[in-house]
Amino acid sequence: MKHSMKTLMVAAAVSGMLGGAATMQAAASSTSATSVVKVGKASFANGSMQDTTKHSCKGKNDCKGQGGCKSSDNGCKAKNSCKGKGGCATDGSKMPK
Amino acid sequence: MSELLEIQRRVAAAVMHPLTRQETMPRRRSNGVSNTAEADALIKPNDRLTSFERLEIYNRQYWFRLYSSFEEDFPGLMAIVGRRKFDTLMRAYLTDFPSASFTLRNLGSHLEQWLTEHPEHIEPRKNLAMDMVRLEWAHIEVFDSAVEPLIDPDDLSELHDGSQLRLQPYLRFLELRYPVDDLIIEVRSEGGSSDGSSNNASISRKHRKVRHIASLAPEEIHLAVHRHENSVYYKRLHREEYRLLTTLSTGETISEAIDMAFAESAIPEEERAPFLQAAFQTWSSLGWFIR
Repeated sequence: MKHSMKTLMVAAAVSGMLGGAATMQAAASSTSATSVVKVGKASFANGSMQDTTKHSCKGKNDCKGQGGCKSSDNGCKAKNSCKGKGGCATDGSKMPK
Repeated sequence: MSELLEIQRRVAAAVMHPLTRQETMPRRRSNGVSNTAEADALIKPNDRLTSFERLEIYNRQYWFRLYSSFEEDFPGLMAIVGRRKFDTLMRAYLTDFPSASFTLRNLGSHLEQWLTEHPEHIEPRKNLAMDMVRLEWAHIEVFDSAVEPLIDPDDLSELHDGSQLRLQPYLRFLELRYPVDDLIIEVRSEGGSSDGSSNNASISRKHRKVRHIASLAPEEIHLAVHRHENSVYYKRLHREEYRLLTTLSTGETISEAIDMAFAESAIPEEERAPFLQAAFQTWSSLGWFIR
């Protein structure tokens, strides 16, 4: 590739980054949603960018971004599949009625 | 060793030993130790349950917890191979790679590698299943990987063709053969229904979707799995974008990444600069570049 062409492309990349940084700052000060074209498809269908209720760990952990959090509902709460269903008491007793 | 520590280890060994095919605690472990004798030595019976039955409750709950966690992490794989094969696969995998971490988040960390060594579990849809496993594991990693401070806009003006760019640690780039991003979105969206009739319709829709995608001719698909405002997203990439990002992520310079991106590219030379400008603008606005 010619040197001038490479210089042009690097300049284009850098100017794109500058433009993107400006867009990001503008978005941070407004409430408008980022376009779907840009971010791609939400991994949970029907989940909008503003609506994180589809996110199974929402409100159940504060470990996002720090590693170690289970990706799903199971890992984020003290879940016991028998809870409320009876039959799991380890001494064999029945659920109180 | 203290008596308490010894008891804890013996109970843990019993609880964490795999169940039988009937999902009960085996009378004898694979190493020959008798669970009946261990239960009698460690657990008191009562008027309703024997020592064995009381210990078995913990053993079963432990494994049911692992099963439900694994199923939640890989619903796409289950949709592809079917419930029965998935159960067999899951039990075999978890026997080879039982939980060894403080968090169940890591339960599926060896699955891709394990499946390459045990392809019989995912035949005849091996390639589709492998693509799905890679996407589902990437999703887990992207969800909770670290986020780093963004590159300072003032530093951008100093970039040149020999500069390196660092990318967010949570980004994952995948090269796939099937549109498993569409499939997993469909599978997850169908998973929330609890009504019986709509569940049947949902399962039927899921099967149709799997059949449809499995019938597609394999094609090159590039995907960025990323996080935006606390949600995980799947973003399709052009081949050139994928090569550019994966090259940058290995620490190569901008110049080398551009060379790699456009090697064998069909994009005409005069369109490459605007292409790059648009791509970098998008990635920058999504916060992918860090200090």
